[in-house]
Order: sequence, then structure tokens, then C-alpha cells
Amino acid sequence: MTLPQRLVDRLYADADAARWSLPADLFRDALAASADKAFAGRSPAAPDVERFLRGLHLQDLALACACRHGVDAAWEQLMREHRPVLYRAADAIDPTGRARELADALWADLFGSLFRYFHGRSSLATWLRAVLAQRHVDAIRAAKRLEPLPEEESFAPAATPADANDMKCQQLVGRALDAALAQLDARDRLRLACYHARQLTLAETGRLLREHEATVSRHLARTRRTLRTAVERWMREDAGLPADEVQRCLQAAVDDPGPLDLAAMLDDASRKNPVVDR
Amino acid sequence: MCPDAETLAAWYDAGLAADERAQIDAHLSTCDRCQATVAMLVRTDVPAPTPARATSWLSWRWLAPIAAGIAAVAVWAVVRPQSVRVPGAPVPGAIVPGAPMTAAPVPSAPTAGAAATLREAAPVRGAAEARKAAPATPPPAEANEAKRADEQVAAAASPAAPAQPAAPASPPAPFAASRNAGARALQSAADLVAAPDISSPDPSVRWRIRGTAVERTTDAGATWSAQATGSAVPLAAGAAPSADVCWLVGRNGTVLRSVDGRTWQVIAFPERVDLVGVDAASATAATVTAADARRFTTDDGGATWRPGGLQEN
Repeated sequence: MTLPQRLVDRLYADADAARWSLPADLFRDALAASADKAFAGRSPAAPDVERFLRGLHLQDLALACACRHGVDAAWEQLMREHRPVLYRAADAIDPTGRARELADALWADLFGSLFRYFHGRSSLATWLRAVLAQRHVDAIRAAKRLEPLPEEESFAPAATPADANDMKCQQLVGRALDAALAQLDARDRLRLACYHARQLTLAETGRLLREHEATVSRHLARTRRTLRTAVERWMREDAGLPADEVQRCLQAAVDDPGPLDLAAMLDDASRKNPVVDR
Repeated sequence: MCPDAETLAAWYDAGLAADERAQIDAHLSTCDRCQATVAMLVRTDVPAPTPARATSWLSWRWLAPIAAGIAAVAVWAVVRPQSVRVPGAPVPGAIVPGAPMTAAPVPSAPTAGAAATLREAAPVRGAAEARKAAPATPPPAEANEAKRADEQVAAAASPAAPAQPAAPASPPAPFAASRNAGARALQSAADLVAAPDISSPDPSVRWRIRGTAVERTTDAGATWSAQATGSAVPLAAGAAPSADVCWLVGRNGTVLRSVDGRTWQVIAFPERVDLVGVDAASATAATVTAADARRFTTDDGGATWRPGGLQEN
């Protein structure tokens, strides 16, 4: 994307890029790369591009650009300001220090070409934490795929008739819940996933969704009522159960959820590829 | 396909356009991997520890107000108007040692409401500036938020390291991919279809049914205490006409009542039918609903029951 020189000059000044003696053309290239990613496949109007570029974290972008091109002063600033952020994040992930290895590896990758993936749409600190988080999640998921199956599964006792009834209830509730969850809009599903499946607090969920925690609480309560109504209706109308049997089944599922896994229900990939991802 | 870390970071910092943000919302709502990533992103949003301010008795700073006060009094003494000063009354314009020097109020940390308004009112691009301007301090904990048990365990288990800076007030839990997390996810699915909490007129007092067990909170859900009901029958519904009175019903004609908020009595019921609902006006007046929709009312705390509802008689 070609950017007007006067705009680049203004943004260069806003970014304080001269602090790192960053050549203007390198900064312009970084701005253009950011715009290319944000407007990929589209032909945006000039005012939209300018508005987008002005909303970037320009100083962080200049710092990252300077680091990428080997400016020593920029690296010193990065060490002072952002290395502690990375290690605080690693310690928050695992207070025993095991996540520090990932942080060290990430830090080493910054000396390579990792900075070309930073485009200033977030702060540098958030980007570093996001890369660390994604790497940690992927490491755990890879380790889970290599774990042997737990031995007790092969020695499960035969189900008793009472167990069979409960299992049937669990299956029905599971199917009803599956259908009900599919009807929710994306934001309600995400809020549910954050709070119930990811076990975030109301405050953390609110920070992610940019909502006040009281708003999160209110929406969660509404979504739970919606789900319960939908589950009861599915069990009455689709499964053909009488009202008292619906209540009995729901209570049985509450007493013993069995294999009901909310995280799996909210994960489309695990349902399409149950062996690959879980 | 999962968005890359740069896009997730931009989503977190409100750096995406509205349509792209909606696309990421939709993806996040169905992707376990990305949900785990953003959950970790928010948990690692730990503010830098504030260094302890060095206060020294020998610091010169505390002398400045006094020195300024002496100077002000000296100036006043030269130019004071011809008036009689009431002993003990504050000298107009004098600076009292120890009093704040600034005339304007000290800016306080943004309240949850202000921060929320800032976030909710700002457009997508402006919100990025808001995040850049304001530090990522978590909003103050609301009284009605239940703290996650695993956060408390993580806080208790964190090893003390003298070289480390002061830990934040509520350290986020380590990412748990253990079976314990799986068990919580299972219980979460059941919680979605569990009966809702039983509210009382006091917003900080509620009960909740968990199968055959009952729990009560007196701090709006921040903590819950299990209560012994003496019954092992699955419970279905409850009603609390006051903070100390609660009626519960369940299978096979089970009716329980508490009049002190803590202990429970089994109330005799004439039929062994599954009871699925209850309305209660007081410790003595309540109407229960059976699974076959019949209703029974008591006005004497369950000593006698009659068909029909509270308002029908």
C-alpha cells in the first residue's frame, strides 16, 4: 500500500521514531505492512487508512521496527521495559518457573525475525503476552495428544441398570445442551466459555469482552435461563419426555454430569475431529 | 482457521475494526485453542509492582511545606490587613504543615464504573488510545463475585521468593490443563442446567441447590457454605421469603424448611409425589407444586396442607 508522505511524516513524529534514528522509509514500510494486513483484499478509502494508522500503537511500532533493524538503543529500551513484562507473564502462567523456558525461547526469537509479525494494532506488551500464551497453549495441547490413555478406562465396571438410566439422562441432557448452545449468539457463547469453561472470574471475563463485570453477570444469568428453557423444551418436544421425567433427567445430570464437557461442547474443532484435538 | 497471536493481541487491545472483531468473537466462541489463549492473555495481564516509596525521617521533602509556610506567614505578616484575629482561627492563606500542597483533589484510580464507561463508550479506535492511556488495572472486585477456588489455591501455593518483587493482590491461576480443570468443565456443564439460585429479600443472602446438597451465601455469592439438611433426596426448587427463612422441595414429597438460615427441619407432606416448585410468603405460609401440576398450601408451617394456592383461599 502506498502512503502519502505527509501522513508518514506526521506519524513518524507521533511515534517519536527519530529517537531511534529510524530511517523514515523503514518506518513507512512498517506502516504499510500494518495497513496491508488490516485491509487485506480490500481497497480502503484514504481517510479510512489514515484513521487506522492513527489508531496504531505508533511508539511501540517504531520501537519494534528499530529492534528489528538492529538499533542498539532500541534493544536496550526493550530489555528495560518489556523483558520484565514477558517474565511476569511467564510467572503468572506458572509460578514454579516452568513457563520461563518458553519466555526465554520467545526472547531469543525476537532477535530473529519475530518482530515482523508485530503491526502495532496492539501494544507491544500485549503482543508479547499473546505470543507467549499461544505457544504455551500449543505446547500443552501437543503434550496432551502424546499422553497415554488413563489405565482405569479399560477396567471400568459394567454399568448397572440405575447407571444405564443416568447415562441415558446424561446423553439426553448433553444433546439438548448441544442444541441449545448452537442457538446462542457468538458473544453469549464466548462469555459462557470464558466464565464456565475457562473458569475466568467475572472481572477477567469483563476485561476480555470489554464489559463491566456487573454486565457480564447479568448476561450470564440471562444466558443460563435461556439455556435451561431451551434444554427443557428440547427434552419435551424433541425427545418426547413428560414434564416430570424432564425434571428427573435434569436433576440426574446435575447430580452426576458424567461425560458432559462444556469446553468440548463449545469447541467446534473437537466435535469435528475428536481424535485430533483431544 | 485460528487467528495469529498478533490478531488476538489486537482483539484484546481493541485494535480491530468492528467487523473483524465480530469475526474473531465468532471464532473464539467455538475454538478451544483460542479461548485458552485469550484466557491466558487476561490472566497474564499483571500490572508491574509499584516500588515502595522510600520515606526517610531525614528526607528533605517534608521540610518543604514548613519552609513554604514560614515564608507565607512572613509575607502575610508584612502585608496583613488591620484586623483582629480570633485566637485559634486558621490564618487566611496560610499553609498548614502536613496539609496537602495541591489545591486540586488528588486524582484517584479510575473506578470500575469510570473505566467501564471509558471502555464501553469509546469507539474501536479510540478504545485503543484508552488502553494506551490507562494502565491495565483490574476493576475492583464486586461483592457479588465468587472468587475462583483455583485462584486461592494458586495464591496459597505460590512459593515465597525473597528476590521477587511484591506479588499482585490476586495472582492469576496457572493455566491448568490437568484433570482437575476437566472436572470443573464437567461440573460447569451441569451448572448450566442446575436450578437457579434461591434469592431472598436481602441481596447478599441466597441459597443454592446442588443435587442433594444445599449451600448458603451471606456475602452475595463471594463465598458459599454447605448446610446439612438431614436429607439425601434430590432437591428441585426453593423459596426464601426472608434472609433466615427458606423452603426447599424435592422428590417423593420432600419438604424442608429453615427458620434460622442455618438448620433444617423435615416437614411432613401427605403424598409421596415429586415436588418441583415452591412459593413461600413466610415461615408458616407456603405453596408447593407437584410434578403433575397439583398445588398444596400450608398456613401453619406444614402441620396441615390443603389443595390449592396461597391466594386461592
